[in-house]
Amino acid sequence: MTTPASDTMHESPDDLARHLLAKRVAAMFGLAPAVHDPANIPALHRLRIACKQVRYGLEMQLDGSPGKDSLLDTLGRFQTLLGDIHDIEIRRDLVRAERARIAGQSKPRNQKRERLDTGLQAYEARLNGRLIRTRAEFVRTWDHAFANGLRESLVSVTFHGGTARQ
Amino acid sequence: MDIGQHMYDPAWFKPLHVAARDLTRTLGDVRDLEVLMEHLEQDRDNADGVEREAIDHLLAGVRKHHEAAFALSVGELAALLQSAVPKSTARHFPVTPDKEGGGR
Repeated sequence: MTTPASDTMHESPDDLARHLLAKRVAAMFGLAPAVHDPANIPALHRLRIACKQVRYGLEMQLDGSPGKDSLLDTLGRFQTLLGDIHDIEIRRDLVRAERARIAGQSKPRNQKRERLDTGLQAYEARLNGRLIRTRAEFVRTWDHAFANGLRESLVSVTFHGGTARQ
Repeated sequence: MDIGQHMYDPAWFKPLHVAARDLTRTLGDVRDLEVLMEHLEQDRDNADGVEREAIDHLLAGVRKHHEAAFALSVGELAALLQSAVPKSTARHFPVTPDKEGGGR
């Protein structure tokens, strides 16, 4: 080990890992209000990344802790649902961009373009329905986990070195 | 690798960190497009009529983007292999033969 790149010194790699995990858990909690705000799409994207970082950090720290699997499963479930939401939004954005591009074309609409726009409209409607259902499932999963002590478990493990309660 | 920033000399670790970050981004772009294509293909298989045709139209556009992104990533990887980073990394993280006699 050579010159540290930071002026923050840590007693051990475990101490450093715990410090970084604490920052990531705090970031995840900070994004919690976005869960109930359907309009805040960028925050949900950041929350997905925060959940991933917390889960990876915990995987390194929770060896042998009771409740570890349950805690990691919960975070993994968040990640999956947030990932699904993100993937649907990407496709919906793609559809909307293509519809806007077609609408902006200067040449007159013909049967082929009408047909394409009808198809894109149907696909967009399908994606919208899927997005609403997946978001609702994520909110239910999140609320259920927090009602069952997820916050306390994460705080205990991260800040006090305790075991997961879930 | 973020943790490594606090543990190793930035004179050699920072170029490695930057190279890894750039490569992750470039390959990530390619992978994102592959994931998008997979999802579009699944949706296409579950659709019919004009909706299926529209998804095929979208897929054709995404495939073109993917080809361009893949070519870019290959170029960036070739440039990285020509840089000083691989040799510097090998000096600081030497590969040792495992028990079976092969490198990892």
